[in-house]
Amino acid sequence: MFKSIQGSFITALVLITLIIILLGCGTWFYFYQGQRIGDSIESHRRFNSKLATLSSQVQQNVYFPNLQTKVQIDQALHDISDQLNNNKLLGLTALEREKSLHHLNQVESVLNQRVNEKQEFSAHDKSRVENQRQAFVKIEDELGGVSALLQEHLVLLENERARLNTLTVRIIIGVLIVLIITIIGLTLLTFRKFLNPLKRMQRLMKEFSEGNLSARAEPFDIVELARFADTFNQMAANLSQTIHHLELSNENLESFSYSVSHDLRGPLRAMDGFSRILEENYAERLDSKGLGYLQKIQKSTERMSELIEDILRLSKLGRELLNPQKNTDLEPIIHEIMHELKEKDPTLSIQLEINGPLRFDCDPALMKTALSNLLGNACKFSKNKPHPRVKISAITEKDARLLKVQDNGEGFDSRFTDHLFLPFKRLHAQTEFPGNGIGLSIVKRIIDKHRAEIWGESHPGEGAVFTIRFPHRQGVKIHESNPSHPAG
Amino acid sequence: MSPTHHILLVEDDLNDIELTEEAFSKVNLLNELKVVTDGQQALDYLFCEGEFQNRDVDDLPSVVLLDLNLPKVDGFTVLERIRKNEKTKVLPVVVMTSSSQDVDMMKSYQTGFNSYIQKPVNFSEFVNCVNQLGLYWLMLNRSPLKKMI
Repeated sequence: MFKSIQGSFITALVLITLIIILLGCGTWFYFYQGQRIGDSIESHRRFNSKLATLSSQVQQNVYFPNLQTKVQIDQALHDISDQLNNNKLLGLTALEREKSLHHLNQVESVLNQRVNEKQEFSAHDKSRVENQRQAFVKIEDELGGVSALLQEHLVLLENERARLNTLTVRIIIGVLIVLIITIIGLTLLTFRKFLNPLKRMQRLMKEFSEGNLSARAEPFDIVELARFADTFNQMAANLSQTIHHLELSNENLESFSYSVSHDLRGPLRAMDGFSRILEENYAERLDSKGLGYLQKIQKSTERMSELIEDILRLSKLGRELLNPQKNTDLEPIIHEIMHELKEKDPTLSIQLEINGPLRFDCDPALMKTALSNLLGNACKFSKNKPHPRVKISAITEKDARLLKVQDNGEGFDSRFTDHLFLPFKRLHAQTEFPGNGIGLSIVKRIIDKHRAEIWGESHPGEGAVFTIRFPHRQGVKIHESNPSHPAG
Repeated sequence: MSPTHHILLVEDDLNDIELTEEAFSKVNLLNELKVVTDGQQALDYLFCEGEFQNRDVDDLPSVVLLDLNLPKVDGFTVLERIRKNEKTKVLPVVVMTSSSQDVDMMKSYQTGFNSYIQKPVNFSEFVNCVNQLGLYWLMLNRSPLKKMI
């Protein structure tokens, strides 16, 4: 019966409608029966009063027989007989009707007799008085019989009305109880049948979203939920397949970077090695120009080795997992980076300015790499200026937090902003500022991983500003930061 | 033939062999260097089989310098076989490879290599590295194998 939500709702509706119709019928039955009995009782009362009127008329006629009143009484008698015969509201049985009519016939015959007697006897006749008395008693008896019969009937009717009232109240209470039980039952059934499976599905989806890719819904016996579960299972299967493909291509990429790392280094080592052997063992046979070429070969191998390292670093970064921490304080990380930069280049003297608490939801280790590249660039491009300065500031916007890294260095031509973050694209000559052009692509990759944005603005000679925009995001799982290890 | 102090180099790249020999000769250790060019040859040398069947079984090298990427039998398999054999179970084996992959390094240590060395591209660093290797494994390290002999 409850194979589908739609079906169940229709069933529930039909059930409740049936119960309401039953209730309606019961009420109607009460009104109809009650009215019918009320009508009968009313008829009885009217009939009784007619009978009483008749009785007094007849008594009068017994003592003073008069043709004119006799006609009236006859008419009243006929009227009452008619009602006895035809008025169904009185609800008399055939036997009762017979009895009553018999009584009335007796009354009529007594009266007829009295009218005849009036013509035969004189007023002071002794037997006439006796006859009068007998007729009086007779009529009294007969009418009393009819009245008693009807009275008995009236009591029965009133009893029936009382019984009907009780019965109707019972029926209404019963129907209401059935209605309440049905509604409670349907509600419980809805909870058990539909809400529990929905909760199961919700748990399952949570499990899936938390990484259990093999989570699948069991079949449901409810049509709509079964369809829902099927769709989920299909989606899960598609996703798992896509992830499997991605993992495969990732593996391919890894084996590619493996061969880059392994196979390209061999020939380079040979180039460097043999050129050095040449330089050491055969120096006397080479002139200064030849020795210079050897140096160039060695420099080139060194640079190519660095490039290979950079490519590997970049591809390794792509595979690293983001481990964001809430409210990471970047300030100690920045001081650490500046310390490392000064260790590398002791002549470095740069004024560092930090504006506002630099707290961001980010991966501390990856952000250190990104900031170390950005600050490295800022130092590299501004250290030849008279008063090199690097300013780092945090700005809060309505839907994002911004981190700005600003220097007063060489800057870049803003027409080439598009090239900034591409690997191995450089906006300055190698002789002017050394580097492989990989730093900003590493930064970009880290920022992409945070689902944040980065852009650079500058004019040549006026310094550069790099802005990182972290949009506020709901529902992203971020760990509470551990203040004792801000760099992760 | 009496047991000697020597180093076994397993390497298939001829340039690398020549450079390694050059580096060893620079630190006067060339005479101690024996070279084989694939994994199978390395196993034959150590277990005195095939072309090395006339070699003295007890004359084991002080250390084996093993490349991972080898023809016929790869470096990991060679090491597994070395560790399985009762005689060579504790023989020092050093990975010398161009790979800087973390997975290779992890796997190497887990398989039972004694050391993992990434061959530097720069020749001066390479010579330096070989010098230290020779000094350590030939002069300083005390192998349980030598005690048994």
